[in-house]
Amino acid sequence: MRGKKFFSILLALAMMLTLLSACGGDSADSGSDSTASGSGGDSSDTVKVGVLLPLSGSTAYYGGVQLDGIEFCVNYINNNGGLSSLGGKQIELVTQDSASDPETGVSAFEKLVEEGVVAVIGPYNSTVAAATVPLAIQYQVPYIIVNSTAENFMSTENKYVYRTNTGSTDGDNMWTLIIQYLNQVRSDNPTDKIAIVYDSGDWGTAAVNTWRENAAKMGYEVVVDEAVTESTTDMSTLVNKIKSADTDLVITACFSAATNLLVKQMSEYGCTAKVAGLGGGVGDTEFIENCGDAANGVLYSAPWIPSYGGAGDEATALAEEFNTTYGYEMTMEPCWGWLGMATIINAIEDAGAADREAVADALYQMDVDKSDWSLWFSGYDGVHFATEGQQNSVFGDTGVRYNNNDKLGETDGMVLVQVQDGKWTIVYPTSYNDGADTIQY
Amino acid sequence: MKQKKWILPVIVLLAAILLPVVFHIGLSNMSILISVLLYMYWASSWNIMGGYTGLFSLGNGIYIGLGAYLTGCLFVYANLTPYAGMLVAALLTGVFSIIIGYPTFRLQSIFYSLATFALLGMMKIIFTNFQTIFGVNVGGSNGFKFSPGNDPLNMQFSSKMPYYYIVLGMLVAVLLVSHWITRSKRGFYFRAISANEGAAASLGVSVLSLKMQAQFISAFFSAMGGGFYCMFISYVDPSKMFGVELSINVMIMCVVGGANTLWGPVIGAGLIYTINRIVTMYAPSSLNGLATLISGLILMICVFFLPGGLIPFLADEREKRAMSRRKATLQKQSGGGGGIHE
Amino acid sequence: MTVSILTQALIDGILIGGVYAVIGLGLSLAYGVMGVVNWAHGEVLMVSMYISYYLTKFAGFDPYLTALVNILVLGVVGFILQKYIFNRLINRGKAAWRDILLFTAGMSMALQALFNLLFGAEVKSVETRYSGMLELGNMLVSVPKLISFLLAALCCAGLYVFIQKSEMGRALRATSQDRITAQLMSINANLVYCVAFVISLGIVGLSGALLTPFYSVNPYVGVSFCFKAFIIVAMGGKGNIPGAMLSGVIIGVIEKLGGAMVGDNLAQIFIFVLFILILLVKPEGILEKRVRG
Repeated sequence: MRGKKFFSILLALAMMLTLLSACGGDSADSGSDSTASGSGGDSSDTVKVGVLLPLSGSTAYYGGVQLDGIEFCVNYINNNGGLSSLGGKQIELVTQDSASDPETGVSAFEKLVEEGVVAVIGPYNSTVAAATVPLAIQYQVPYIIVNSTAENFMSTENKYVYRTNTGSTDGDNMWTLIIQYLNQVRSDNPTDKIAIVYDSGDWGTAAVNTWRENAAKMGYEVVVDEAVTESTTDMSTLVNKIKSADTDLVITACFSAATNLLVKQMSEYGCTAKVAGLGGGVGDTEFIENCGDAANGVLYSAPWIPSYGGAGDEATALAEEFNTTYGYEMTMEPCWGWLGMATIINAIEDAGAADREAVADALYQMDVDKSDWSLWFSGYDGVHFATEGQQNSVFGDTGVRYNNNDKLGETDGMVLVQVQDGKWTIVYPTSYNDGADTIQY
Repeated sequence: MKQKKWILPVIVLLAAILLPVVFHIGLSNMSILISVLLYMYWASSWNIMGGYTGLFSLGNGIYIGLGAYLTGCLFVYANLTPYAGMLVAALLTGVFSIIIGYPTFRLQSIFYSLATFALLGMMKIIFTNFQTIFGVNVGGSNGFKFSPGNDPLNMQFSSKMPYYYIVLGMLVAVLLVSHWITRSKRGFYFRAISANEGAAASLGVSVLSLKMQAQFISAFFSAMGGGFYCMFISYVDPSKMFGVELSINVMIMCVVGGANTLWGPVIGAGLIYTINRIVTMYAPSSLNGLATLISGLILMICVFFLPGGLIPFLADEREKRAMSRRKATLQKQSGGGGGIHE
Repeated sequence: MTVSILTQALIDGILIGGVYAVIGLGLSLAYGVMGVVNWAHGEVLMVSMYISYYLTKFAGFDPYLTALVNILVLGVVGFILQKYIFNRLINRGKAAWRDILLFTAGMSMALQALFNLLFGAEVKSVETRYSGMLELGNMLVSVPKLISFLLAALCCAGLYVFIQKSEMGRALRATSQDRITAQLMSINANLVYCVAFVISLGIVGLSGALLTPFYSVNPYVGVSFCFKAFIIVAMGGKGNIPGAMLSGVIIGVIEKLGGAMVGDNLAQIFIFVLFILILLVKPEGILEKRVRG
């Protein structure tokens, strides 16, 4: 009797394991270990490119919008003759869900590798990036990192992993310029007391690091320095600290709930410090709506997006087409998705073959400037990963650059916007306003 | 009879050993298999404490996370090979579990559970907010990572197969220990505590000491699993290790399968993981989080309709059918001679 | 760290503590009368906050009036849950608390996932006409928090009167002390349980409305509230209303003062430590007489 029970149990167990390995995917037909070969992605008449994004879990929304940008880019190329140097072959996207989780991301990445993709783009979450970058190096698959801004990626020099968005440090360099600008505008009331409020996760902590480090050098004093979480329910104490320290500027790198709470409670408690967001909740489409009047005056260093204008005719037309197709304006994530995907496409074209090694080499030598189609929606100066043979895109450094990094000047990579009368308005570079200083104090 | 019982598990074990050799299993499917085995392992580890002894801990992640961090740190900073590192980490975690457990064992069971939950939360805050702990850099909220290499002496393999066999071996080990619990006198005492603590005390054994032993063993194994995980992924994420999800999921797997049984955790883990996987794969991305919803519903349904879990339920059904068969046979035997006709 | 910051923190702590108290009270009642630990207590709060949010934002309700809707809806839900599910689980015997804990844990997971599916994970908050600050000297007192505190205190007082003076209240107390004897005195234990759970969830419904003017809601907002509710149960004692009130305020104050000193994030550690201390030192509640033996 007991034996029969055991038997049925163990049989079920065996069935389950078999079911798992079968349902693990449709790659049961990938006979040989496709990691060994250098080529990949060349099957029938399409070239496969892998996409690893969070399509479920806590950051599913961002994964979804980034995928929109990537798909939009692929459709654009496919509808305009495909890959010309490969005889017009179409690009086929193979998408895997990382579920916002490193462990799932690892097996999803491996799935893509098995599918024979020629390159992978992703993964949005820094934690998934940390877990999958070593895999790209190990399996020798070109990997374009988009949107992960944390600085500390794998430290092995290699030619497979690249990043096409700015890391936190570049953003901070931008902010250094902005502080100079603010002081220039308000020389009678310079910004010298700063509060730092950041999300305790990896992005938030990294984003404010440079601020802290540069404090003494730049001549300002950090009077409040606190981490918060998304589940923080009340910031009245923090706001009071900020207020009593006579803070001039609050730098914040938090997500939606925390940002909204901070802005609203600062308004409630009558704290008049300026708020500047480094991203996160400030960039949410519902930010202004959620905070109401309290949002007025909030500054944001936003990556340039098409709606800021000056993109050129074809780009503007495409941006409108995106709006019609997907139902929302092309914001930061889809723009960066376009850039990353376009860079891969450029590399494939340059390589002339759907071969991982060739594509990796092409990426290493990539050097395009502003006029290239890949940069239509990003406002960067160019895409260039290696300088004089030196690989500079692995340690969280990036292949995209701003125009002027070391002096106050025009820079097209990012803009400084401010909420004025319930709308985001560009205040810097002043060329958007015909040279006038429109910032409101 | 005893010999017959051993044959089947051995056959299954052989099948599991030969599986990756006979079938060529792709990379990512290997990862899935390894994950399943690891969860089965963790569910079985928790079972020792929560199922057999009734120490309903909601903070399993404490031990898993500690095992992961300790193993990783010993490897990176002390160059201690993970094979030894895992054991050391497990021992240290076991001791830690007793230290924090000691004051909580006296509590009413529900408060013990809440205390473990509170401790889990504390660990999460500590590990996500502090970059260095006791002077060791553990990465803070970025997590603890190191380069994966190809160094079999240090548990770093370029292929997945060795990992598979290691975790399979660990699973066998924890099942053997669980089996020993169901058979031995000490195990009997563990289960007595779970059933009725007062009565168990009257047996003349130190309930406190037994609880400590159970907790130590359970934490030891959980931590070893954490160490394995660390070497497998080369990355420890504090919000995942010390997060509520991992602990609750492991507990659910054990409970749904059947806490207090040997195969319950294994079956439960396989079932829940498979369901999760299938749902995440085939659910439209607009239905975000469907897998968690289904897990929650499964737990609710299981608790209400199948108290004790799947295995006891199946066993009961089997017994019931056997009983009714016996009844029918008896009736046939006795009904013939009575001469009573309808 | 100036005195004014600390005093301000103290005031905020007391105000928010009142709401914590009410939330904890709901759990305390359920635990006191029937030994039910509702792991999904926070999620019930979350549901009620969503109801209040949508009614306030899209149907133009006054946020405090949504309490009536919440109480009604959650009362009905509570009745159904207790009658058809928890009563059956309780009758299973000694290990019933484990089953209830597991069931409600499943409920909690399912509710979070369900609301995430239905409404998305974004945080939602609504502007109400209850805003602004009162100035007391150079201290600022948030008007909605003050109103919520007063309503919470009122609710506690009302409940206290109900439990002490009314027939049903007596039945509740009797059943929580000794179910068997209460049944011998012809008290229908199952009915009493239903009443207790209805009150428990009803209180949570009220709290959801109280929080809406100054809190935002997302599917996971219940988690930290639930934890504080557990602390209140442990600190305040089973079904002990003054105990819950006091505990709530203590928790609120520690949270805010701790926040003033080390930051809100790390102040959570204080809360955890407090919880563990209470469990170790006086798990039956700080206002309860020490149980010997």
